[in-house]
Amino acid sequence: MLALALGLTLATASGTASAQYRLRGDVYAFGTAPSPVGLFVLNGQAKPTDWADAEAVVWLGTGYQSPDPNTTGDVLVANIRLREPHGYGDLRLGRMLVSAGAIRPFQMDGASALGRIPHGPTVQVFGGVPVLPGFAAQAYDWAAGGRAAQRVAEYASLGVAYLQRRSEGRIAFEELGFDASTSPVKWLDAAGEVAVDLLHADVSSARGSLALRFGPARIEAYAIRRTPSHILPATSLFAAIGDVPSTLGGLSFSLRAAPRLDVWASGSADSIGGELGGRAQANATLRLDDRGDGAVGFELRRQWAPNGSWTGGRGMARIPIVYGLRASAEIEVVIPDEPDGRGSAWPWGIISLGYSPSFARWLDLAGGVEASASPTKLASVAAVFRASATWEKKR
Amino acid sequence: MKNRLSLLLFALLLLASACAGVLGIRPPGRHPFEHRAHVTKGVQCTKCHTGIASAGDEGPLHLPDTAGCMADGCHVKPHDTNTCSNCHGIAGTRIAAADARENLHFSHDNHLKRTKGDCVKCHVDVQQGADHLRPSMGTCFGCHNHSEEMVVRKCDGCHVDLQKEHIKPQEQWVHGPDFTRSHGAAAATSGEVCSSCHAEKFCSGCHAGRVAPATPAQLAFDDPFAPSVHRAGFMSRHPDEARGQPGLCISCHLTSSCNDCHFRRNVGATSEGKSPHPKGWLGLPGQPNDHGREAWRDPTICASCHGGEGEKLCVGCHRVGGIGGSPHPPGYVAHGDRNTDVACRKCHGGGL
Repeated sequence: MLALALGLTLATASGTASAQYRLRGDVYAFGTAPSPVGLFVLNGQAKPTDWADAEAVVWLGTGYQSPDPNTTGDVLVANIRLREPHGYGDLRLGRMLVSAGAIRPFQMDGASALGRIPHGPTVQVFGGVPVLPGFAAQAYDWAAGGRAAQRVAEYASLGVAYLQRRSEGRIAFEELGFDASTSPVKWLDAAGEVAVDLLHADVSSARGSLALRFGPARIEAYAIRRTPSHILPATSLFAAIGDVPSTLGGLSFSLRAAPRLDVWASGSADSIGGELGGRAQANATLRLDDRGDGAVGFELRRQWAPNGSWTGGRGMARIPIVYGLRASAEIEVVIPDEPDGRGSAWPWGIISLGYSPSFARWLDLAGGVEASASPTKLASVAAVFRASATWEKKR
Repeated sequence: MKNRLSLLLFALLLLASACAGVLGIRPPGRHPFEHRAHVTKGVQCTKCHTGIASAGDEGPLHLPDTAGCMADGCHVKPHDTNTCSNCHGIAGTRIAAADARENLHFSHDNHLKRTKGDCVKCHVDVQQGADHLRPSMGTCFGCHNHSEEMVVRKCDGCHVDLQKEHIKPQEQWVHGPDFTRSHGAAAATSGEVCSSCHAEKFCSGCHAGRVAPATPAQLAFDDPFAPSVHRAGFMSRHPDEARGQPGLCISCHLTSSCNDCHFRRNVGATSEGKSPHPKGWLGLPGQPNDHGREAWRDPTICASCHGGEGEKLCVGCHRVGGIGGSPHPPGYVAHGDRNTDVACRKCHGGGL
């Protein structure tokens, strides 16, 4: 697919005046003990004509979270998009993230087609093979579905989506999703979605949000319901445990308190399998200049959950120094309510320096040192380095 | 006493001034360029912004320099030797103009002909002394009807490259500080709007985490303000975060990803390290036996290690006539076919 995308780019390289190309390479070195790892991420975008574009992100090496230590590379995104010149439809081919209304986004190798009728419905259909890490494949795995959406008088949108996924030929998910949003006036917006597990005729997840805006302030009320057993594939034995949903309702308040100062707070009460829990969070961010290149922030968090309550504080700073040199620091301390031999506090911090020379804007260098104490390690120190180069061309 | 009070008042005044500066509430003396004062004295915009009337999509910004201010004897006696724009006006205004030049397809030449030389028709904020002079999109739509382009997300008529421009919507709270939590509901109905500015790699960084080499926070380690659900010391607190939000983790991760990582780090039941389960996790009837409650609360956490063939571990006790009894909660209604459905067959179909 990457070759196809590249071929398309080259074949149409003499295209229109709006042709754009961007290629970025990032080299990472993570000096972690006991096994340091290196990573090369190549990121390309091309728009050779008005009707075609391509995007690819591939990585080589060994990452922090490689599912298999032997994995030496993978493809995050690699697709081409062919568009009807007026924008009334497009076709995507390759490795992509499928997002269709209330259906949970998932990654697949396949095709997705979208048709738009101005002031009429938008219809999306997709089908392909769900992606497994390390180029693995499982016979008779596939997914297919679609979504139809309609705008209502420019103030609202309604959508319905369907997904069927099969694993080794057996049906693993069959979901129907409904989504809606509206913003009838400038100061009010609301959105909601419900995904129904058709195999067990029950709601697998639902989410709703209602927000009001008054000048620099925004207040949002939200509610989320999840039934984890329905989120599991139907082929899993754990799907038979039953339906013990978790439900939460909360409020979030954010305010631009001064031109450079944002504050927000959020709190929710949860019912987790019938037991009470909750979360509270407060955050303040102060920009040190009009553009926000420099900033300092502070955050406090508290979670109440059965066997999982904790309190944490985090401070962060990003400060431009001089001549493209910048510094940043982040520190966090988490105190669990029930240490259970995991340590009474888990501190974590990183300091880093970055440099993007004014005479070579295509180059960016950054290095940092991360230190922490965690439930599994009494003390841990790691060095991390990144060198990035960007090449872009616009005609 | 009086001296002390004066000193205290002076210190408070100094502190308030410093705070006002830090918070972006500008002290008197630093204000936007005095456009209004110039216009009321009869100075035409094009007298200072020379060449703007014929300016195309490329070329210089046509912002006045010191020589321009002194031309025709307007400002014959500058009060110091510095460049005028060092003090008069705000640097951000010029930076915004340069950004607009780079990121927009726009020609003053075309527009001034249609507005008959009236600059304020678009730059409406100049009258109020605003420091950001780029007209809002709402102002553009006062004349241009782009409703069809908006519907089909065809933005490149004006925006050179929205993904690179990295501009936030004018309504700042569209991407408010709590957006990581709230974006799901908005993206469900308006995913196409997201893709106007965000390349797919942006979404895939989190939602396709199973094939990503590291989390977005690890890759952007030098920017503590980069949005990420796995910020800072997430690794330390992840079991507790998972307990607080059942089912959330497998929104992005495969159930096997927990086991893969625990195995590699030698933490967990399938490695040679210690078991992650606390005391009282598993016991005979009448003994401490927490695993059932935890499994009902979030079976996805169990499946993360015991998925696949490991599921048979449960069936060893929880089967018809087994010591663990039925795993189904009271009122459980079976929807599957015990002879064909994999989950049912493991207990009921004679598979074990």
